[in-house]
Amino acid sequence: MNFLSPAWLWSLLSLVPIIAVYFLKVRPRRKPTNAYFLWEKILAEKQSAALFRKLRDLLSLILLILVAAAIAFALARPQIAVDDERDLLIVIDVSASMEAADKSSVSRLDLARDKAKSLVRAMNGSKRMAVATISDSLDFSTHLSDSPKDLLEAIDEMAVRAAPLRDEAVKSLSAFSLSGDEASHRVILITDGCGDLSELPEGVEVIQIESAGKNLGVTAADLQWIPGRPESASLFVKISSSYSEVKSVEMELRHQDTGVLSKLAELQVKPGMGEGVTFEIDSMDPGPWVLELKHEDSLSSDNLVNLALNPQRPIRVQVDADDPYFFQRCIESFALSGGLLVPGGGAGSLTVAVGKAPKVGSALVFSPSGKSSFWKSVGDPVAVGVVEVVKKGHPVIEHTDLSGVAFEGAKQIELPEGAVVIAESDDRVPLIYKVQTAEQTVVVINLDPSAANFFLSPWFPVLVYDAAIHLAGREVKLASIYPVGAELDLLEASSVTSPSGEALRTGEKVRLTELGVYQASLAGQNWWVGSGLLSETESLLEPREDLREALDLASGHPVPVWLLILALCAVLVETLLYHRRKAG
Amino acid sequence: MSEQSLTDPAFIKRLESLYLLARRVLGGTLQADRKSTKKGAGITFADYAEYNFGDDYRAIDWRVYARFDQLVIKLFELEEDATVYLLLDSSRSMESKFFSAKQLLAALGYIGLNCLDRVAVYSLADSLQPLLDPSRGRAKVLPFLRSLEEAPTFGSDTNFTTCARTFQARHRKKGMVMVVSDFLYPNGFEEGLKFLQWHGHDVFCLQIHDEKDLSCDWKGDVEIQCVETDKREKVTVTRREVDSYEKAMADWNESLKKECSRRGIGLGVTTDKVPFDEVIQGILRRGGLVT
Repeated sequence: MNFLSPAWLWSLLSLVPIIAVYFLKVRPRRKPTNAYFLWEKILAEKQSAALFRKLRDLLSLILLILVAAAIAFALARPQIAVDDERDLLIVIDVSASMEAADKSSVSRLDLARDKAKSLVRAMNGSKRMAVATISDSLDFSTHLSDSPKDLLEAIDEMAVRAAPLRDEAVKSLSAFSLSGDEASHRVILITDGCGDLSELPEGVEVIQIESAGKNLGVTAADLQWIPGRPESASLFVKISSSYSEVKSVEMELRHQDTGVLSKLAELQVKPGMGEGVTFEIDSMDPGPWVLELKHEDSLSSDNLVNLALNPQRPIRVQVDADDPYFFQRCIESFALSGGLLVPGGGAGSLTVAVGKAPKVGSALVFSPSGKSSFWKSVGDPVAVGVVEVVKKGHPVIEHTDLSGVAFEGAKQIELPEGAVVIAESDDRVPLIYKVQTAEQTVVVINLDPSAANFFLSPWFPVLVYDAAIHLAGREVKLASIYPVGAELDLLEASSVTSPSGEALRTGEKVRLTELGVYQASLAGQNWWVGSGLLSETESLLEPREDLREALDLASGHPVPVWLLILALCAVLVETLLYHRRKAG
Repeated sequence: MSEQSLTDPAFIKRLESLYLLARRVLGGTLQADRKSTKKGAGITFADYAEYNFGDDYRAIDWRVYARFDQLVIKLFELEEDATVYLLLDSSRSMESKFFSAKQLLAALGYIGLNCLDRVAVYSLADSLQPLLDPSRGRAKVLPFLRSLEEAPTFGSDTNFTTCARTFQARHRKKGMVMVVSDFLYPNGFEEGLKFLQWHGHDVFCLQIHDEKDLSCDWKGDVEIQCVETDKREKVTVTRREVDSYEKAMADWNESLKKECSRRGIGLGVTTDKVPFDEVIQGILRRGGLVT
């Protein structure tokens, strides 16, 4: 054992006056009596008590010495010597499963916090420590500190996040340096073991919180319009259960804004990962929806999910060609299958044209000719040998194998300023390019679709569809719900608002961090996106068994605290003995 | 003269009042009128006895001879003085109530001397010390009071039995023995009282207590010290010890009462807080110390 403040050991010298005071204190008062012989008779009957009285005085002296010594040693801050002097990082799992509570309403996070605080108190500032939380990401709550107070406050402020424990976050436990030296810190992870811990780095030690509890929750869900059936939607829900028996659960689906209850069902949930069930619901309105399981269990955050049913917004496509037949059939076939492309004109519609671009609106133009602001000049036909993709992965050609497209009827084209070439021939003849002006966006495909039977090519509808989606800004097809922690590609969104009303930064991927409904503005239209826990590892509350246990960790109250408690107990006993000396 | 003085005129005046009360209550001759049971040449017929050779023939009752043809002589009471012996416990345990005891003794002695009784006063502790040789008459009052006033406590113990034997060795003549004491004798009081009574004395006891002796208000650790022997003992006094002491004291006093009752010894009990006049008046009005 060593002492952090050994100078306080000099306070043991206070034992000298304490012992002196003791001998003065225990001298009893002298009382003369006229009936001493009567007292002799009384005292003769309690001979055994005399021995206790002598021992009691000795005990008092021992207690006084003990109190003074305990206080002196406590002030000297003794510490049990440990070989490991590395800095310590305590990481507490705050994923959704840590909210689970047992019958005494103590949650796993409460247990983890108590354990962490016990470690901090045991160290008592003898080494530097930092605390962090982990769920879908690793977040530091403090920097390295030897102040137990700061660390304890940070631990108290930790709260459960409605997010699963992700492997990316777990992997990152080895990807940082606390103080610049990789070998200078030790990482302790306090977790319940539920979550994706398959990528737990070597060297990370685990303190596993054990807590019983059964739970069932929604691990997958979707809400989509049924094609061809206006105002009808299909609800898919999958519920996983850690109960050992079949549970009957009431499920509600209601509109978040109007509160209208659209579906109420009694589900029989079997143990384990569920198989999923689908409901077809009529008279559905677009908007945010809430799916709730009416069931009391260990984890409540997976009993409620928010689903988005966005309005059906088909892309109207009109055809401007001398021979529109194949184009129209193509559009109509898309309308019949999914309803995304529908024939029609008017404001906001797309135009599929041959030869010339429309004066307004976005357009897909095949076989440019004549004069247009979207090409400077159109020359003679050229033969196209090898097609080279300039913009790999461009949405217009994302699903098209251009090597299978015969660019018959391609012509020499002089491009306008700002045109983006997507594909060209080996002679640098632009074959597919895009021009965007302030009012219009046009994709030009430099081929004659009627030549080489392109209408019959399987790439024809694919090109038309992808170009139409790209021109309408609909590359991003949003699902009804995403798990918390997922990243959405909303680069084109002009605004994104979180469920709590916070305006998120646009122009970058959006990470879903809250439960609820997000709102995004894309191409002038508002879209909803739901987020939920949707995690089987979190909902089933089944911990891993093979985690590396942390060893050689001091916990509990530090030695000085125990010494002070001992001193206090000794003071109490001496107070009782003193009271007996004075008051009998 | 101070309040603690027995020769103070005010005190003597109180004694005089008590004497006057005694005269009224006990009835009144100035002559000592305690009759002896001895038969002698008095004038009061006491009894008949058979005539034996050598008896005084003038005492023969001829009428009885004429009637019964039997020679008998008359016996007459012998009137003589009885001595009042006052024994004052002067052991150190009496220190706290010594003056009260002296006042009581002074009153008893004053009445006795004024009634022309022969009065002798002794101090008793571990030995018997004379305070006043047998004396009679008013002229002896002041000397009596002075010697009583000057009497100190003494001795390293109280041995009543030894003192009783010493007393008897000095005074074979029977009399009235009044013991003024707290009767807190380590060796007991039974033997002494029995000894005195066996030798024919009329024994009366007047027990005087210090009120503090009857109860105990100590608490916690104390070192009790015997005022006579200076023995000491450390003890932790709790409620239990207090109760034990008070019971022991009550039992002791009760045993004195029973012993006196059994032996027909008059007993009076008082404390140092009760004025001596009241005590004496009470005794006189009751007609003496009752058994």
